[in-house]
Parts: sequence; C-alpha cells; structure tokens
Amino acid sequence: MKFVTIDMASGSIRKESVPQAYEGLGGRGLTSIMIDNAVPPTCDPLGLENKLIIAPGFLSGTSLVNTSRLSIGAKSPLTGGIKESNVGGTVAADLAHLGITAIIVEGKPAHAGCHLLKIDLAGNAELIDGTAYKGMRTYALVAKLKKTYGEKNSVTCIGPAGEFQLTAASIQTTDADGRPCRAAGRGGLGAVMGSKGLKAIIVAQGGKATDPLADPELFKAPAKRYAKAVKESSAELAQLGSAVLVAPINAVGAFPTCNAKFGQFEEIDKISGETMAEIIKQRGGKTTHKGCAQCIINCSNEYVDEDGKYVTSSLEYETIWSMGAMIGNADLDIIAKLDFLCDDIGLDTISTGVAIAVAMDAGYKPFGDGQAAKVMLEEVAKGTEFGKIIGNGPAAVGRHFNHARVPVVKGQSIAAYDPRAIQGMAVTYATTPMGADHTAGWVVSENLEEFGGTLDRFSAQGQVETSRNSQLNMAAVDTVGICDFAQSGFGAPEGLANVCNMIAAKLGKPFSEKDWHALGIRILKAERAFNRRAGFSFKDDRLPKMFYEEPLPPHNKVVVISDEEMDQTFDF
Amino acid sequence: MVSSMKVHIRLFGTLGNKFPDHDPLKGFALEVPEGSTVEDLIEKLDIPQSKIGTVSINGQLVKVQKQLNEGDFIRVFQPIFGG
Repeated sequence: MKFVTIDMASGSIRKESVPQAYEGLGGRGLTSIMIDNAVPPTCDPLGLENKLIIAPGFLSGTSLVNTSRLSIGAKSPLTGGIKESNVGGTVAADLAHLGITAIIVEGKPAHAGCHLLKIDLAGNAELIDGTAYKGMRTYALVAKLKKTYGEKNSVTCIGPAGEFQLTAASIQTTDADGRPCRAAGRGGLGAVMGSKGLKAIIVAQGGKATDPLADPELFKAPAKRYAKAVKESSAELAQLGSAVLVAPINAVGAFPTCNAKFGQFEEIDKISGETMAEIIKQRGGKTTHKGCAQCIINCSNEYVDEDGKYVTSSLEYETIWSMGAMIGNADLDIIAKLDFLCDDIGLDTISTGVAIAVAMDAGYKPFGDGQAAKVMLEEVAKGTEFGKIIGNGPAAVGRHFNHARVPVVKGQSIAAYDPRAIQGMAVTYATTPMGADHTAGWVVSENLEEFGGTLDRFSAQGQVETSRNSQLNMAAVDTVGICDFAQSGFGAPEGLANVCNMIAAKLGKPFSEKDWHALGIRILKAERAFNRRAGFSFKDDRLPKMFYEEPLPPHNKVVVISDEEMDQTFDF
Repeated sequence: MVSSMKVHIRLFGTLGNKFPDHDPLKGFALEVPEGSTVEDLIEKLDIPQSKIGTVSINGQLVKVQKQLNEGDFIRVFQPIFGG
C-alpha cells in the first residue's frame, strides 16, 4: 500500500505508505476524494496546481475476475470540474501487483519537457528524459519503448493531442497484447498529462508485492460465485462485444444520428455488431479477444482489413456510433480507421466523433463524408489551427462555427443514447459531476420495457431516483475496479453481498451493503463539493436547448425532466 | 384446415446461433400458421422468453402479442446490458 508521488517541477520522487485518510479506497473513490482534498478547485487544469492521479481499483490485483480497471483523475480541462476517466488493459493489475495504490503526478516543469516515468519490478520509480519520444504517435511510441525497456511492461501514454494539450486528448494504455488501444478517453486528461511534460508511464509486469488480503479464506467463495455469474451471462459480449447494442438501441429510436437530428440511422445494417462480426470473421480477424488482464468475458475484438491486416482493437459500440451514425458514416472500414487514428493520436473517440458531427452540422463538410473525417483527425495530429479546434471537442467546434446544436453537458459530449428517447439518460447526463457521461449512471435497461425495465422511457416518472441509485452504485463500482461489463456479477443471488465480503476480506473489517451505499454517497458528495467550489451551480446540471426543444424522430419526443426534478437528483 | 403464411425473421445477438440456416445478416424465412402472433413464432423457434428483448415488425416496435401478416419482416433483439 503505497503512493508514488512525482513532482515534475523538481523531478523528485517520493514513496510513502498510504495516509490513513485514504485507506480502504482505490480507483475513483481515491482519485476524487484526493482531488477534492488537495487540488484547488479554481486552479488552471493545465497549470502547476493540478494533480494527475492514477489509481487501480481497490480490488485490482486480487484474484477476482475483471478487475484490471484503472481510474485516472484530475481537474478536467474539458469540463472545468472534477474528472475520473476509467480504462482497462493491464496496467491496473500491474500496478496493484507492485503494491502501488496510486501514482500522483504534481507540479509542472519550468520548461516544457518530455519525460518518461519508469517503474521497475521492485516498485522503484525513475524519471527519464524522453526527448527522443517527443511528438510520437502512440503505436510507434509503444513499439519503441518496448524495444528499449522490454516487452514485459505496460505503457500508459499520450499522443500528439495530449502533447498539444487539447481538451479531447485521451490517455492510452496497452491491452493484453501490448497495443495502446485502451483509452481513458473522457475529460481531456491527456492534456493534463501533456501539461506535466509526461509522455509515458512504463510499468513492469509480473510484480509480486500485491497488498495481502486480511482474510484470504473469506475472499475465495464470493470471488468464485461472482466469476460464475459473470461467465454465465457474457455470451453476447464475447460474440459481438459492446457492438451488440448497435441494432437494439437503433431499433428503439435512441441512436443519435447526424449530430442527434434523428434517433435512427437508415444504414444501420451496415454498421451493426452482427455485420462487424461477419466482416471480421470473413477476413480472418478476431471477433472474440481478451483485451484486459484477468478478463473472462473477452468482449474485445481485432478488426482487420481486406488483406487480413490489423486495423484496430477493439471496435466498440460508442465508437461505431460516434464515428458512424453520429457523422452519418455507414462505412465500417472507415469507422475502424478513425478508431485507430484516435488511439494513435491520443484522442477520445466519443468527443472527437461528436466534434466532427458538430462541424458537419455547421456545414463544414457533408454528413457521411468519412474521408473528410479522416482528414480532420490528421489535422489534429499535425497541430493545425483547425485541427486544434477539432481536438478541443464539440463545444470548441460549436464556438468556432457559431453553431448552437452542440450535444454537451459541462462541455463534454453525450454518448450513444439520446436523452429524448431514454429520459433516464437525460438525468444522468445532466447531473453527473463528470459532464455528460453514460457510464456514470447507465439506466438504459431500466427505461426499456422490452428489456425488462419498469419505467416509461418518455416520462419523467421515477427517472431521478433511478439515475441517483445508479450513479451512487457506479461511484462504488469504479472505486473497487470491477469492469462495467462484469456487473452481471451483481445480478447473481447475493451479488452485492459477495462484493462486500471481498472488500471486508481485504480490509480486515466488516463491510456491509450499507457501507457500499455510503461509499457512493461519500464520493459523489466530494465530487459535487469540488465542482461547487470550482464555480458550478444547478444551472450547469442542464442539457443543451436542442434536447428540450427539438423533437427526436421517430418518436418525436423531447426531454421532459424539469429543472426542479433535476435538482432533486442529489438529495443528500 | 389452417393455411400457412410466409414471414421473414432476423435474430440479433446470439439468438441465431442455434439455427444453421439463419444468416446473421439476413435471417431466414419461415412458414407459420395464419393468425400466429410473435409469441407463437418465438415458441415455435423454442427461444426462452427471458432471452427476448425488443421485437419489431417492418421496423415498428411491437408487443409479442402482435399478430403476424404474410410477408412480415420480424426482428428480434436480446435484452441489453452495458454501460
């Protein structure tokens, strides 16, 4: 249990035991509570007072399946508020195996520099001059770093977008095959890493210093039960990945198309998960692939071109939407290429796709022009003036074109669920402290009667309470570091009790379902307190006008959650 | 004697796995007795109700009690999960 703190101003590194105030925390709980405690809320997100905090989940590194989840936190340059961006790959497990609870990157070099942070098998950290890597795209960067420092390292890094400190810049990390294709995409945290002059973090794999469990026997049975429940309910994800959602969400008219002018995409059959799987199969790629350490779902895939050559991994639901329907593009090969380019340049695929959609909506290029989208991404990599506008996300593009149809909350774009067709997502997008974020409180199935939901998706009834409960639960899930897609384990009999027992087994003291709920409240309170002090008010918990005023075909509904209802979301 | 009618069905996600004739991109055609509902069709295919999410006929969302007509194109989706 240790913190590794790097002061980028002096280059000094200190290791310390986890202070009592942060004991029992990991992941989002740790990053958010530390930011609330130690980052001045009004600071410049790209200045010396901001901290970049990198923390594996509390259960990362244990034998529990699907727990290689990393939380990266900071004050966001995109939203101006608190941010936790969550990513898989192997690095969370690797850090936990070294007994590292968090890496804290603070300060800022006096002169713009390019550094690497290397953590070896003994858990020792070293700052290395990285001038030779400056400006590199992530795939070439990782190849070079692995050649220099060895294959048995994970690499967490930024591309040119992060170095340019653009606010849609991601932090990429390597998957189980060592490719930088896993993204902590949201909130522009790549820009924060860039502002610190840090290009990459190289972490040795195979550490043997995992924090011991206080009661290993107590851990075993619930971990086994949890894994069994995940295995039994993951066939769809294994076969089609998250892209299994494309066809059904389009069918219910909630798939934002052409910058959210429509809720259905006419050419959906060309970009559905089923089509993607057939293309991959015919070309000899992988429809099922293990992307993250300790994963038993294997929702990842490897998309290949007509010659069977690797294009990208993993092509996901949100990207098929943002680079597909949202920009009117029905060419999966172009979507896959845009996904690769975002990973390689170090960009959030959601914010970037929506930025392109806003530009197209403003008349810069026609919807459906995939080649134009590629050119826009290359402009980001080159650092042209227009490239910087795209790389700063949809709100920046809207300002540039003086175009009002910008689907963002707190500056961050919505994801692939239109809030007019699923009112519960309106509450989550508007109220989460993160800016519009589908993972903060995913209430899609609760809203769809056809999928067992009990809410009327076009009505406000029950939406606030459902979103609140989901947001509280997710704050805790992101703290322990269980993958979003492995939440089926919670659905098993005694699902939450199993998780609480595993936490208790690590802590060495009882942890009840009540404590789980209290953990969620504690995190959301800290995040909201930070945002309040940063200048946010209830007025920021609103969707843009387009969602209240423009009926969305085919159901022709608008968001009906009132401001008063939105303001009751966090009634604690 | 009940006469039959031809409908076309496409099963999404993993629902089509157990039918060798089911093309994942096109589905397959089936003969069903006239007057059949979506529910009858799903029963004929021996798919458990718990595996069924949204159903649409010719692009319109329907309940499983909906009666089928000759030439209908039925799409059946699985319950969803995600985030």
